[in-house]
Amino acid sequence: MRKVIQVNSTAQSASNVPSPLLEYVRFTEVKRLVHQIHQEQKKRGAKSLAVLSLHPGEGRTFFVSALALGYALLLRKKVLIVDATSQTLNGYLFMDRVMGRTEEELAELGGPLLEVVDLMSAHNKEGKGGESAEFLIGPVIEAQKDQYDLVLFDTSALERRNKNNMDPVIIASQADASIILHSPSSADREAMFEMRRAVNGWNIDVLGTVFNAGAPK
Amino acid sequence: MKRDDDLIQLHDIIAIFRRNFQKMFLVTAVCGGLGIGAGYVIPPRFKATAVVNIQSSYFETPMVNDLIASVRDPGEQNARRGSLLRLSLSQEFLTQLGEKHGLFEHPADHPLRTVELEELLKRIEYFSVSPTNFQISVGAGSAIKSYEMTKEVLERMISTLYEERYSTLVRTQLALKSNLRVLNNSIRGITSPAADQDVEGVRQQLQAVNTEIEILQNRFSPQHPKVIQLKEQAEQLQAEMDGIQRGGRGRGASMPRGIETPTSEKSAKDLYDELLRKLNFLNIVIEMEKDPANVSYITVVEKPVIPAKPFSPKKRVLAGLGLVGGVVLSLILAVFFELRRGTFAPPEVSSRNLDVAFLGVLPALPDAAKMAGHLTYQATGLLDGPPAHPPAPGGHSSKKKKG
Repeated sequence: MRKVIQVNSTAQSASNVPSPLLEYVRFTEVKRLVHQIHQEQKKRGAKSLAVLSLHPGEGRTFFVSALALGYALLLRKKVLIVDATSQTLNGYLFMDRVMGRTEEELAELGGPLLEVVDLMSAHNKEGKGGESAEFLIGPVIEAQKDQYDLVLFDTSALERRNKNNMDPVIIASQADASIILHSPSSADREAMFEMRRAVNGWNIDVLGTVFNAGAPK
Repeated sequence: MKRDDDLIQLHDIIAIFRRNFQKMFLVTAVCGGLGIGAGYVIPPRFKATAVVNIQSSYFETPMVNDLIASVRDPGEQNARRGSLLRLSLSQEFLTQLGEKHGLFEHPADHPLRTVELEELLKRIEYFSVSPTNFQISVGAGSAIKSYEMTKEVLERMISTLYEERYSTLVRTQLALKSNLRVLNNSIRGITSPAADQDVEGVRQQLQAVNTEIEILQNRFSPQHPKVIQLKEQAEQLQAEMDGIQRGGRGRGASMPRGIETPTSEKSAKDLYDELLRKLNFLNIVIEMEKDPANVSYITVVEKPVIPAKPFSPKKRVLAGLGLVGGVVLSLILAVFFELRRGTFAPPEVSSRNLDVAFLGVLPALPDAAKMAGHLTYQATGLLDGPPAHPPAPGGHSSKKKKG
């Protein structure tokens, strides 16, 4: 495992338009959502949160990015995002896009932000998770937890089970609490029961659910 | 900001179809199969049809029209045609028809026999297909039976039409004869009263009535209303003749009530001649119409034939109905399954299924932001494609925010 990326360290393409996510996190609903999660987090005393969802493509990474930005911009909190997904480093470029690419963009984000959102990847250079990454991530995060107000785990979809994936259940069980993200494709009762079956009995404390209205159906 | 899940959109409907396709296909196939099966299981019904033409001349009588009320209004004529056809389907005839073809399950004195007669009557259809044409058909379980019943009903209807007209003519003839007899007596009373000529007139009239009774009895039963009517008339004439022969009756006593006799000999003779002329015409008409071959106002346009195929059940219609019913049922079932599944339930309900708190809704990205190219789903490879929803309203556009 390696601590990878300061936000500004992987900026690759030039653009002088600020990230739209900065606008997005200022929407009232997003603000309320950030506030609600913050309240629940405080109530539970949970410093690390894993974001789980049943299906791939439900917007976990997007949600993690928005939540991290929300914490940083709105609450002035220091956040660590841990990439525990099955995506490659290149795929994770999304985070860079979300956070800003150019110096101008980063300047617009404000100086403190650069220091309050860190990214950590559990993948090696080839974009694959280590054999025991999901088991080691807990102690590593535990050691660094005090430096952040919130540690967010971006995980793989629960229904994706292959040997190269880091198991989201193991990741979530090492976090203080988990947020279940669901979308129109997993809002039905069956999917919810499947989700319940997936998290029950694995020492996963569920903080609550968030519905991603923008995810593809 | 309005949530994207507030409305059911085309892709939602497609998703519902895809989820329930197997069930819907199965239900539609089963219902279609049932429809097709019903076409083979339901007993076939055959219907032989005939068309009879009843011309408006049926309601007219040449030369004696001023004596017989004729119907000229086409609507009224049509109603009369229908009434005459219904008149032919008497209970007596229906009983005879049903018993002949073994259509009754209950004996004649059973209360349910009335119901069976009603059902038989419903199987006999007759309706106007053009101003003068009536279609007649009888439904039955076999082609032969349907053909035979239609044939019998048609014959019955035609004979009733003949009878009705014939009896009208005969009644008119009798009335004319009666009047002539009275006039004759009156004229003779004016000139030379003679009771013996009275007797002769009544005798002739009685003889005519008896002849008519004889003719009608050859065609109908003695209980036929026309036969009974003529018999009563014959009895009256007999009594009248007896009275004259006993010598107790004069000119006035022999006159039927309500008949006015002229006072002068000339006018009485004129009237007598006029009525006699009409009687002669009427006699000719009656004589002609004794043979139905001479009658032209009732024609069978289309004779009944043995139906080649049943009119019911219609296999294609049943299969189509089955399929349509199956589609409707499968749609209802799909909606039911989706309701059970919680597709249309708000996200709060979904979190309740997990027994956890609902933290909130992550709104969709506005299109303006996506178009800027900074945050495209495809570019990131994180999602299968961009969200297909329009920007969530609520006044959160990038430009507004900048302002």
